[in-house]
Amino acid sequence: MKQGLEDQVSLYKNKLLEQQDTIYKLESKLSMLSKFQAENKNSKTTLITADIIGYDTSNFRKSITINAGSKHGVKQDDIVISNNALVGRVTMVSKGSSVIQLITDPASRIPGRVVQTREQVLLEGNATAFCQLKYVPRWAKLKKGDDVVSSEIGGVYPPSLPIATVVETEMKGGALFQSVKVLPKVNIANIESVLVVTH
Amino acid sequence: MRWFTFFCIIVCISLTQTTLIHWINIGQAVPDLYFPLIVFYSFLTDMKRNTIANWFAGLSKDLFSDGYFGINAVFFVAIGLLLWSIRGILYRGHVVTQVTTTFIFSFMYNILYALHTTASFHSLRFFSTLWIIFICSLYTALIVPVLFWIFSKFQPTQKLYPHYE
Repeated sequence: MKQGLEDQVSLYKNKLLEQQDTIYKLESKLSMLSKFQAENKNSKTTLITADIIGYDTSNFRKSITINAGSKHGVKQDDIVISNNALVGRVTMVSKGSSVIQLITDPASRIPGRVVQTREQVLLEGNATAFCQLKYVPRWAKLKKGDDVVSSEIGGVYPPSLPIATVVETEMKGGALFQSVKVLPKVNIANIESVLVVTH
Repeated sequence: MRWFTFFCIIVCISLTQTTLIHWINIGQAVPDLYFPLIVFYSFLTDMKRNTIANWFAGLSKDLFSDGYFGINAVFFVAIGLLLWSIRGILYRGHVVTQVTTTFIFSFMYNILYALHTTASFHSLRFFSTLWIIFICSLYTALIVPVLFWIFSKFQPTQKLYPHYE
């Protein structure tokens, strides 16, 4: 009798935990959606929420797989965000899932702009947790904490979407440009769902 | 060699590597669960089976990676053949040999892959990735005893050191 009751309590406790986790996930998705919609009231974009279901098997490539595909409306080159910051770009779409190239992937190139100095830069991944800025002129006065947002040059990314924060600048003797290390706003290890922005 | 078992192992490794990566990594060190399988089959099968096994292991890694499809398969077959060709001079049954061999060959494989990625996308700085290559290879090598024990349970007819018995 007592054992049966204990089993039931344990079962209900587990169900409660499961429901708490579901509520947390849904709240997080709702908050992401609301934030993006509040800041992009007039934009003609559709948002699709998706969960991360897989990571890249290689140490030198950075991509994720999400559980939304062409049947949900995802298209190639759609952009992916989380907490109103850029996560990456859709590179491969199948019926029920898609592969997202993260901004930290070595093949990723994103046109950006430094908010504080208005310098036009190119943000590229290098397979680590950080990215680097290319073509930053030597005279640009970048400092730690400066923000990098997307630029509409190229037409793939929407303008003014937060991407990264400057963490280190280095001026190498003889180099034409500064070497700038930036930290992406989104830590991919801490998120479980993303928003796909379709045009 | 049991092919059905081999493909089941490949599916399990792919699932673990793609979904549990943030649970099995230690900082920047991410183990390559496919690589001990390459070493295991290079140690105990003939050249033909070794090549086929490494080819399929590489293809399954390619399937879940954003790189060029087939590149891991080519590297795994090449590394597997190299390892197979020198296995006669190794005492394959000893855990130290297994760990050391996995570390050295995993390091070589990662160097090859990093060179290929550096040549393809100039954003990857080869020398700055050496530390990542080292710690990833070391982590991969350190989990070899456990993985070899699991693999040998599923391939009981194969012996790691038949000519020493």
